[in-house]
Amino acid sequence: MRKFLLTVAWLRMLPSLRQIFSSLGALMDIGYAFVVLTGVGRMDLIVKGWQDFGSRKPVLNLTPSPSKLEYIFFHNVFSQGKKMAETDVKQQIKDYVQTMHEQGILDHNFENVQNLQCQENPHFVLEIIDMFCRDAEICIAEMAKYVDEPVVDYAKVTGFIHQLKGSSSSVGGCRIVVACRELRKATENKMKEGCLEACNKIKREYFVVRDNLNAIAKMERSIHTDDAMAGIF
Amino acid sequence: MASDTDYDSDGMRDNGNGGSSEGNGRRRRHPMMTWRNNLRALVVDNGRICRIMESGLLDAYGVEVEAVGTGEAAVELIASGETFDLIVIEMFLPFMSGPETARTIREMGITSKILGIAPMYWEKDAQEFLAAGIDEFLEKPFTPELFVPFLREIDNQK
Repeated sequence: MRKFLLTVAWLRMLPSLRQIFSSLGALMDIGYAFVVLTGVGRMDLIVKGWQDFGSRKPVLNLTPSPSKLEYIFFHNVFSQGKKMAETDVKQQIKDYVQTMHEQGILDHNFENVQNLQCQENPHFVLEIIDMFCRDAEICIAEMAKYVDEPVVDYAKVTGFIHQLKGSSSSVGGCRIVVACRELRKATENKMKEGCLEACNKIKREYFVVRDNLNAIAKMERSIHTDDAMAGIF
Repeated sequence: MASDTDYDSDGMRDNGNGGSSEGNGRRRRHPMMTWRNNLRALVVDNGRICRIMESGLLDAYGVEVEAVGTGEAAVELIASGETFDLIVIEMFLPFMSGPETARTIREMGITSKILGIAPMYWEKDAQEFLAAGIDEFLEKPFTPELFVPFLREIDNQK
């Protein structure tokens, strides 16, 4: 009997409790919206968000369950950060290429490579740098091999000179081009010593161009990593 | 890792001659130049970086491009009925050389503008190539500064 009466009393209290809780809930929603919009009191999540952005880890869970306001807040923060970072890196690449022009390491033909990068070909510069380095190393190794032979096959060496000169000039590697011309002259005159010297010069110039192109490639990669991160949001 | 096959792979055709035609199915939305007529070009270059840059730049300047790596592939493409306003041929192609390719194309009755390109300007190479029927001999790289005047000329004549 006592249990029955207690149950009835509890059931009669529920509407009042519901009213109390709904009022408290409304207050909590207002407070929640306030802290999300202002960032007050959610510094732990904001810090976590920046840390994850900096370490390039995707932020998959915002705990507690993300509200739409939280999502918009973080999305805006990350987008702004990404845009600023990308602009900075693009300017760095521009400045770096300008320095390469001034030092005579790259000529204006590298700009043709950059101009061909577009929405349809977003990784063009990276692909060309990668292809150029691989092809150039094969060419240089083959040239060196034939020049080292007791009897030099000048026709074969000339073939590789043409390949290397063609690809180098296409990407703006002007110093390699000059070295290739010297080797071509040496092969025309059938001078083994001249060929050896010119071959070594080509290697040296290639290493300089390669290192600088790799630096540009690294900067390009950092932009594409940021793009991949933005895609998550 | 990007390969020659992966780049611009739309419309790849293997013609069984050790060469393949890379169709330019992926056109640039905003070319750097527009022409009164639809211009088509054929690039014949065995160097993959050169071929990619040459066809990429022509495409960027509003030209529909086909690119092949051998003279045999170029001849087969033209023999199949494809027509081009501009043909760009590298001097030092494997097997069928640049001059041989140009000669064969001219013998087929093709009157399109043919530009011969080479990594280095060498007088005897230029003479050999010009004797084979090309219209102009140019040293690489094949840049817009070199090819735009020819495209204008072709566009005006069409």
